[in-house]
Amino acid sequence: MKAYLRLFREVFVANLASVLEYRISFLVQFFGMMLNNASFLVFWLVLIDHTGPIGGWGFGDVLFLWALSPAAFGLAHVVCGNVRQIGALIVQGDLDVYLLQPKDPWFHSIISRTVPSAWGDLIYGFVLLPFLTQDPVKIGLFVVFTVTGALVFVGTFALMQTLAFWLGNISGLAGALTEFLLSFTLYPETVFPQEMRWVFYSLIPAGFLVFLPIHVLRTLDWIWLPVILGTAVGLCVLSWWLFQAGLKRYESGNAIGSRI
Amino acid sequence: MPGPRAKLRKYLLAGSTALRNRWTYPADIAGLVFSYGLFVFVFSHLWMAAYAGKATLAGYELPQLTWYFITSELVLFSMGNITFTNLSNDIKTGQVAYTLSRPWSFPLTSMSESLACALGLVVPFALVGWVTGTLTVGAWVPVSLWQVASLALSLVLTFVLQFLCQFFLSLTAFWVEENAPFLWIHQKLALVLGTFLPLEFYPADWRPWVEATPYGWLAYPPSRLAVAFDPGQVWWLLGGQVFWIGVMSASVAALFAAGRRRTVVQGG
Repeated sequence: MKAYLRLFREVFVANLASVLEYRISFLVQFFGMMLNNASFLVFWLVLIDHTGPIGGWGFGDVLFLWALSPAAFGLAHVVCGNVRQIGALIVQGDLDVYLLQPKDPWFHSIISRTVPSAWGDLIYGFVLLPFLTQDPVKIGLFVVFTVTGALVFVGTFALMQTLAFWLGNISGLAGALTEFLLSFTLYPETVFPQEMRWVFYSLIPAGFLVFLPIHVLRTLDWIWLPVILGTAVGLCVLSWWLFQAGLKRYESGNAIGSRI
Repeated sequence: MPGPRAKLRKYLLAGSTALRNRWTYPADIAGLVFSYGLFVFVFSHLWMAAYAGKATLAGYELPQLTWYFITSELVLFSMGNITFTNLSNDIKTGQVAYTLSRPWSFPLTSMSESLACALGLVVPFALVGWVTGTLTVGAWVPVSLWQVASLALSLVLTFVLQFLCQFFLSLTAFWVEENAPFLWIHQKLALVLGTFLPLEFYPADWRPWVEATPYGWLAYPPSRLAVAFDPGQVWWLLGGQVFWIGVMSASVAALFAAGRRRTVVQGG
């Protein structure tokens, strides 16, 4: 465990150093993403000004959604920025470089990159937080749900990407599922028909990502906390297990590569 | 020296080649159409929830707002980001040096390629939008032939304006290595100012500011013509689009002239 923490720390520092090498590029992406997210709040502000709460969600609730979802997505891609590249690594036979090293290839491959714009997503969520609540308990919960949300993103994306062991090039399918997951985490759950909401708690786990956490943040209904934590960890374990099973089908591309 | 007809044929050929290339990967097109359908689905439900207990919002009824969104997203999805992505890559890799040396106008060729691709994609998007809209709020029925003609013209003008905006932004690659954030911000401004919501939703004192940018003239004119056709407004909407096409053309020409001088520095 200690060895993995050390690896995580070293890789994280190296990733950060590599993106900071191009400071202007990093800053442009960082602030660009924050502005990108902020522009949607204008839409919601104008809309709710005309309609009042939509499906029981006022502007404050939507603000929570738009803080938690980008923060979780940002954390997932700051720490595990390579998670949506696993499919390409598998298809192109480029996993060798991770398989030849002593640490777990699933863990090592997903943490081996950071996405510069994701830093903007992560910080954006926390910039909004003081406008949403000053309650230390809710701030603590927001931090916890950012971590669980990031785990749900990582677990789900890794799960989709791992299917490449069996299906080959899954970029189209993975792209569509990613679009689904992102789309449904950014709009109030209650605008969707009752009969389709089960999807948010199964195929597209947007419910565990934002809807249940926001319910807990609103009501402090603690009973859901272990459910959210369990699902987040469970999804990552499931994707790790599937990856191990898929490795038996892996074919190397025989490309010479190095990872320093 | 080729005559105007030969020149036109050259650009038409560039456009048709780009369109054929675009359709080489039907799965890619299917993914885009799927995303468009998903957005229309999400927003049609959002509008239904927003209209609970209300007959109109900012003068629009539910079917009007739903069809407004279907039209406005159709415009942005058909155009996509191909212009920006391809041109930015060509500039960064130096490929643009080869393209510039060919016997044609680089901006006109790019425009011909982008418009051909956009017009070729309108059909599948429109089909998905029409089915989704008809199932959720009922069919869209044009009020007159003049509405259809002005809507078609406005769509083409939107494509041209969107092309010019993307071309302008992609030219920043001559100076900034990572210029994608400029596209993100452009996309979001385009979405917020006239795509998600008609301009009538915004406070009255915002309107002149929005109209003083190209964003008020991208998705809004064709979408407005589609759902709230007013013959007295047609020339104002089309004229505004033509005016902004002129402004953006001049801006693109100036930036392209400045950027072109840096091609040598880039190494080609």
